[in-house]
Amino acid sequence: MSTTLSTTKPAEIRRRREPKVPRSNAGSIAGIIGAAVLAIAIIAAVAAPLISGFDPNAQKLASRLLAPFSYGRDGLLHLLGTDQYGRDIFTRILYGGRVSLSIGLVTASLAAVIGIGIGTLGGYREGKLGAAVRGVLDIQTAFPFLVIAIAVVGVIGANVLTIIVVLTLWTWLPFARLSFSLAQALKRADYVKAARSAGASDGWILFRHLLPNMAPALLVVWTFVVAQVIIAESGLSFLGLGIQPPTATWGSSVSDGRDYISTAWWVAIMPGIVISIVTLAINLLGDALRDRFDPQLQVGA
Amino acid sequence: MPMNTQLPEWLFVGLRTLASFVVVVWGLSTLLFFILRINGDPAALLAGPYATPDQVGLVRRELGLDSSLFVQYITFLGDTARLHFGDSYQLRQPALNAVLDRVPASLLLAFAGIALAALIAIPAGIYAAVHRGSKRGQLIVALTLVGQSVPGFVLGVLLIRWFSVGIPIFPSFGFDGPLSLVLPTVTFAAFLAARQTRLIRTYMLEELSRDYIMVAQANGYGPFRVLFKHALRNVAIPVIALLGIDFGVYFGGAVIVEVVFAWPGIGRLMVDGVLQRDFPLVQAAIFVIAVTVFIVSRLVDLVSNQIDPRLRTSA
Repeated sequence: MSTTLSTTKPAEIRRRREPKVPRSNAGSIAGIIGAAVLAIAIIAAVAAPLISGFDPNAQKLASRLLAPFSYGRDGLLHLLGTDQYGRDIFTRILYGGRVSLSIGLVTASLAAVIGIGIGTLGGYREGKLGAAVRGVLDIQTAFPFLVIAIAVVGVIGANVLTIIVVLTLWTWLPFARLSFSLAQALKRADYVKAARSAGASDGWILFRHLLPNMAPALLVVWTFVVAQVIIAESGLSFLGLGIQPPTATWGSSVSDGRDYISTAWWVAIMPGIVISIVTLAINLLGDALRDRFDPQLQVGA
Repeated sequence: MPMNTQLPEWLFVGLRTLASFVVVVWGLSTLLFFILRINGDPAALLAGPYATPDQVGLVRRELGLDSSLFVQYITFLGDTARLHFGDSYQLRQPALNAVLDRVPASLLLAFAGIALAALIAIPAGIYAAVHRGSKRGQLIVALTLVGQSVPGFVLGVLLIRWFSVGIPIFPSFGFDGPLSLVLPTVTFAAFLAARQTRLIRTYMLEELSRDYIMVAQANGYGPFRVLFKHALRNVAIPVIALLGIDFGVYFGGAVIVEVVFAWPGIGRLMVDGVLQRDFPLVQAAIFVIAVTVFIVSRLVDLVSNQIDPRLRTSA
């Protein structure tokens, strides 16, 4: 699989040689750890009400800004402390994960469908359609997307749908770019020519020959895009342009805690650490997948 | 290659760049125009919660918000072409001037960040490539992954906790002397350095396995000459090219850094404008950012074409 991908890249991508890196399984161990952490995060978000007995939005002003591992007035343990309204930080992180992870997974998948569709068609057909797709990709490259996302989400109003749409408009690009060049290269592969001369239709070639061969590289891109979307979504929340309060989100929790950074650091730092760990886990997984499928791939490098 | 009967190549490339510039600005302006008017009434917001309907109407007429959407759009395109963005509702001064006042602070942060990132990434990337597979080489790769995973605002808050609150060395906000540049620059550079280190390492590994490196070594050139004079020059081309492609993404990161540290740049001005529904300010800020990103990415294109003739587009 990996040789098919790396030897059939388009001509303008410079020829690469296999760097002689001693094969170790350190990468795959890191990948397994990444996958495990991601799985734990997803399960924790889904099962939030079962894991924590606290209501994420319940304010207990008597238990404001409690340090981690301290007990509230009601004698209940707050694992990661409480915020300025006496809400349990651990619980809010669990519920915040629902927002970040679902937006990350949905957006990356939506972007993958759109980007792979447009990119593959453009690269396979070439001609006018290919030129048009390439033109759009070139122009979009010069767009400061996150800046525009901030303005758009801020003005239309931040809700789940707006955020997903805006971030999809940004993240379909890497899928389109990669599938364009892969499709362009793979259609010249001998087995595709053989299939065509045997009378295979375009649909058959696309779905039975091209897409299965493109899938591993695109899966790697998908992984990195999930991480990027989570960072972007939490960044929007941090700016006050994400899902609005009182819904718990990771980014807005960091932002709320900024005012208490000198007296109660855990309010901002705890959710910040969680965002970083989850993103790191996804990136570790992506790195391991890339090493496994196609070490030559330049995505997320 | 240009044909004799056609335009000279430099003119062709220049015209094509100009055309895509116009398309970018037009597309962006159109997008902004409609999005900024989808919901919310800026006149009501500006007049304040206690304004009478008459007062709101007066404000609406003053801002030209009472004419039809189509007329507003045409007027808006004309104004954009003449760089008239109107007065900022909040600041009561021409929006473009307010934005341009903030450009130096943003550029200072951007260049300081890119310079610091290069200072870290070039040696770290080369080291990680030369000592690939070693403990330290793997440590560098692991650190780059961490650097790409910690969001800018999280790193910023951590740095404020450690170096402004914990050990009060650096100011945590505003622009007041060289010390106030340190934390925002480090925050901005961290992500950039992580990405550039990985790129330099990857391309360096590739270059080091090429024949000309072996020839240079066989000629008896020392490791420094081989690395810096031969390999690094070839590595610089794709790394610089990708820096240009990513510049728009970095600007998004810079916006958040500016907000975290209350840095008086374009990014924070724009976020304030968005939160206050100050349309002229948002439009002017996005226009200036888009033009900057476009110019930088084309300049980078030009530079990498000059370094590497193979990249020049033959129409």
